[in-house]
Amino acid sequence: MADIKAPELTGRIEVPAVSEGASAEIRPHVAGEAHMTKIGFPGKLVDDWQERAIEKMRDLLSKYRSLQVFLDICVQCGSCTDKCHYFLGTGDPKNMPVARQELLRSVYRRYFTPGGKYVPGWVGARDLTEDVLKEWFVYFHQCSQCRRCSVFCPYGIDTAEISMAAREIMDSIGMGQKYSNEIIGKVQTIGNNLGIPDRALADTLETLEEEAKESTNVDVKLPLNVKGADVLLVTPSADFFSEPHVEGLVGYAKVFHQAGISWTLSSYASEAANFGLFIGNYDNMRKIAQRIRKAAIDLGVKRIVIGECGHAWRVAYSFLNTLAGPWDFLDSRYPVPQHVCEVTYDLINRGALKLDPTANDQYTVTFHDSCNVARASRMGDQPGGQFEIPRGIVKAVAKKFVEMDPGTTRDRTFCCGGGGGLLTDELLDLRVKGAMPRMQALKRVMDSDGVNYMASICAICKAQFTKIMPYYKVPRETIGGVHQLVSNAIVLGGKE
Amino acid sequence: MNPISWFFVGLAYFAGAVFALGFGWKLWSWLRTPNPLIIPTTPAPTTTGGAAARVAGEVLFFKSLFRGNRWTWFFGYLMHLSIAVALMRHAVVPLGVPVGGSDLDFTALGPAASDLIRPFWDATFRLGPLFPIAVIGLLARRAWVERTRYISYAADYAILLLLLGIGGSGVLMKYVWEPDVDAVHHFVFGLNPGHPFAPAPLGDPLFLFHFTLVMTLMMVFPFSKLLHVGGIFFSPTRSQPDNPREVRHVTPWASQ
Ligand code: HEM
Ligand code: SF4
Ligand code: SF4
Repeated sequence: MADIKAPELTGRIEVPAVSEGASAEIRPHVAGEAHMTKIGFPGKLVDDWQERAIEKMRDLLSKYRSLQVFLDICVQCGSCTDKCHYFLGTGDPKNMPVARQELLRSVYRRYFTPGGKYVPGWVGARDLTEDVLKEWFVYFHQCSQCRRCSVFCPYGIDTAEISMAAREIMDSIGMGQKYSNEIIGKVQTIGNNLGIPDRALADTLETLEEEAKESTNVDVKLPLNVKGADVLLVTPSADFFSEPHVEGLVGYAKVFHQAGISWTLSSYASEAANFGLFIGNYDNMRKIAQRIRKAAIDLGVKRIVIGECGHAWRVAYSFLNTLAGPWDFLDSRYPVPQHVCEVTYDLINRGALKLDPTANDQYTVTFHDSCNVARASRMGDQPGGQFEIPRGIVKAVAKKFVEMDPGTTRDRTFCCGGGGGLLTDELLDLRVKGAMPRMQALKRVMDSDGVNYMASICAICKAQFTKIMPYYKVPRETIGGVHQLVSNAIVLGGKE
Repeated sequence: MNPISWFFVGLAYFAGAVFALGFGWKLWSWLRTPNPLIIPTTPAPTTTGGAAARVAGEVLFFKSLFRGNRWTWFFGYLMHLSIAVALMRHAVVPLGVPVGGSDLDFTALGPAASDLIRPFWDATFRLGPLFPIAVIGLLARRAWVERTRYISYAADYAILLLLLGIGGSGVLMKYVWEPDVDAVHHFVFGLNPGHPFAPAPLGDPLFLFHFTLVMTLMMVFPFSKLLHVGGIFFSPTRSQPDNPREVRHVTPWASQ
């Protein structure tokens, strides 16, 4: 894909002119029969797909108040139109959040409202034709479900909810997305998204232990399947194999080591990511979440801690209690689940970790809020803890910290461009363009303050930026984890 | 009573029924549909009271819209403020105060309260012309800005034009062609159940125009985006408290 060109980096985010069809040709691969049937969907587009799709819509409308209310009340005010990174990056008007919703809403009107039945042309109602279905497949896979649009909507209409419903409808008629569905299949049979079998995982952890020993001369352990450990750490499987993720995993291990917390990973629940969220499928999301429950019971742990991953933290923080609770068999002194940042921050505040921030002196750090952490979860006991806690850690382990433009951080943060099940090669063009707003904001602090490290607490953000930064001529090493910095700064041993 | 009067009486009852049944059905439909998951847009308040305050901030000040787009907020807020004032002043009619008057009696509340309220009440009376201005502002934005033009349907313009017609005819009645206030009053009172029907003020076409548009608005209300009036209270991203770790949220269909 040599023809992918990144927008020019100027340090400014400009709202593009509307350019109809600009990204109409970017679409993900359709899931094949094997990937579909394995997770409970028809193998290919069913014959009576129109009727089945409308029936599915009816079913979802009766199950989700969010969907019903959001489809009913949009006033087309336009407040969301310039808020989506995919619109800003492509100029395609169907990437304006309200226009994306309209793809589904127009069909809802046609089949479920009197206006749509009798005066379709007036109110924007459309039959569910093959063209409409094709359009759904394209543009509901150009939404990373980042919720930025929801922040600025007077009614909080969340396009992510609409995208999830649309993907669920498409899956139910046999038109799924290969990338997400294949991964869900893997996590359900092997235990993680990458499909790493037990043996390979054990080997990897052993190698990491050896490397840690070599570089620090301390026996930092990465235990697997240890019964009776206090903490079960569930982390995105990218942490085991991908760069820069793996540096963060070593960081968590060092924190547990230094704090004297007994912990373990589980090969059965070796994945914090839960792509069931992305496809809006409750059953799959629940099944994946239940693996964490089973692992916690089997290993007899007292606490559950989640590693650095945005949507995983959303599912864990916001849904785990619903999907896999109650957690009354765990230690009630700790929230269930806890984010690894909450654990580390707490230890830092209690003086339980010895830190040497000069170890990160080569870095001027900024922090990229990941959308699912920022807008769909919390850390600590105060609203907004999800912003303060990771920043608190970064400031404790690195001396030079700079904020990006406040219009692009905290709850107004821009998605990396690869979330929501879009982190796949055939969507690379979209991913590069969708990263534009974040890259502009980063560019500005690179130029003005010499920022050379953007910390993030999300496996998808890390993978996405590693891939797309070179298109913008920014070194890929600029992206890294928070616990990667912790790993550098933590002073092992010498606790006396 | 002549047939034309009966027509307007029938229209009022029909519109009232469509509005009440349609909107009531929608509210019931939202109410009975569960929220299987906790999905507030965060940071969100952690208590029910906090979440209620958040919704109040949206209803009373359009806070999210303010963050999203200042111009739309400005014209939108102005329009809604005028609608609120107009609704209040119209609600006074059944209390026996003439449409054109400002002689509502606040003295029952005590002289101090009365002196405090009076000037505000009288001032609201002069806000009428702001309403059409606000609606024209919204229309202009919709048609001029490329992005909003792209997302607008005929219905979006039609509703604003309907409001413009209502507001415009209202202002004209107040400042230019004042109708026969007594006749209007009689007619409107006659619509109240329990009162004898009164003839429509057929000599005041401007009033009949105003009245017909309002009835039209009531009839399209349950089938249009005007549903935002109720929906804003039901939006889970704003109305749910952020407490999923503390409180286990279960929904019958989702827990099987
Ligand atoms: C609970 C009371 C209400 C709330 C909180 C509310 C809130 C809002 C908000 C936030 C908007 C978007 C911004 C804008 O374009 O103005 C809006 C739009 C609108 N509202 Fe309301 N509203 C309420 C009642 C009403 C009523 C009673 C009417 C008319 C009878 C109305 C008519 C409209 C119309 C026509 C629009 C679209 C404006 C446009 O096209 O730009 N609203 N409302
Ligand atoms: S959720 Fe994010 S990606 Fe989807 S429409 Fe909204 S802003 Fe765009
Ligand atoms: S901000 Fe909300 S109400 Fe306004 S157009 Fe977008 S989705 Fe619709």
